[in-house]
Amino acid sequence: MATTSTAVNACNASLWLDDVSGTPRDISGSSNSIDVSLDHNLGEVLSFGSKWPKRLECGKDATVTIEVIYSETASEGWDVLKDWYFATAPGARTLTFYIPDKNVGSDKFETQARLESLSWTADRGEAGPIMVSATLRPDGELTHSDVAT
Amino acid sequence: MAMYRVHRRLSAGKGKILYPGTLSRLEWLDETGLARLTIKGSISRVHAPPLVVLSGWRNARAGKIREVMGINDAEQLLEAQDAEIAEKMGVQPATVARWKGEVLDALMAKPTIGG
Repeated sequence: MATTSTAVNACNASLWLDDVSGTPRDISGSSNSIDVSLDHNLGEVLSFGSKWPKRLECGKDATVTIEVIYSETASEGWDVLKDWYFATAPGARTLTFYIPDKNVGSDKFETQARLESLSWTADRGEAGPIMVSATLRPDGELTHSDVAT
Repeated sequence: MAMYRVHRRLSAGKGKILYPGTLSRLEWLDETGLARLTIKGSISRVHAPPLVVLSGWRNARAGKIREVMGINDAEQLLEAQDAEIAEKMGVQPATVARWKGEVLDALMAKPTIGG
């Protein structure tokens, strides 16, 4: 079998998150990781005498964890996430990310997301930037489409 | 300009989504973009059938439009200007729009869930 010629990496992935006013902010320049878990709710069916379970399927879910750089500029990743967490009514915001880039043909994932957790460690012994980890959960469907514009 | 069938949901900007099964010329995309989407299996060229094999076209209409306008297949019909067809065929523009709608319906696959 021929080796694929269309493998991609994440160097030019594009990550967008709405700010408090609902304006999509490109936070790709202040983030460097998107961890995605797509889950399918399955239930086992086992009966007497069966060795291998059959499985029923039901709902879907997803978890998206992004890593952003703790920076001091407005509308960068940390600023958007910080405002989101500390808002009186954080609510759901549009999260969009493009793999491998934002050009025609790329995969586009989009959802209304809620901020589940925000964590970071300020370590005096670490010379690198503080990295903030944010876990986002869909509030509704996570959609996939191909970029065609 | 070629006609394409959409196989996977396409994000066409400003919230516009093209769903699987729809047809589009995707005229805003360049060759590179079309090639990339084709390789991914997200779109494919529509190989338009001759009009004469389409339901409702197995009559003199297909023969006349071929004779008058040189239009043989569905893609050529959809590409042609409504006003020009109406004038040369001696029909109302609304009739041309209806013909095109019939042809589009005949070419369009039933939408699938998801994709």
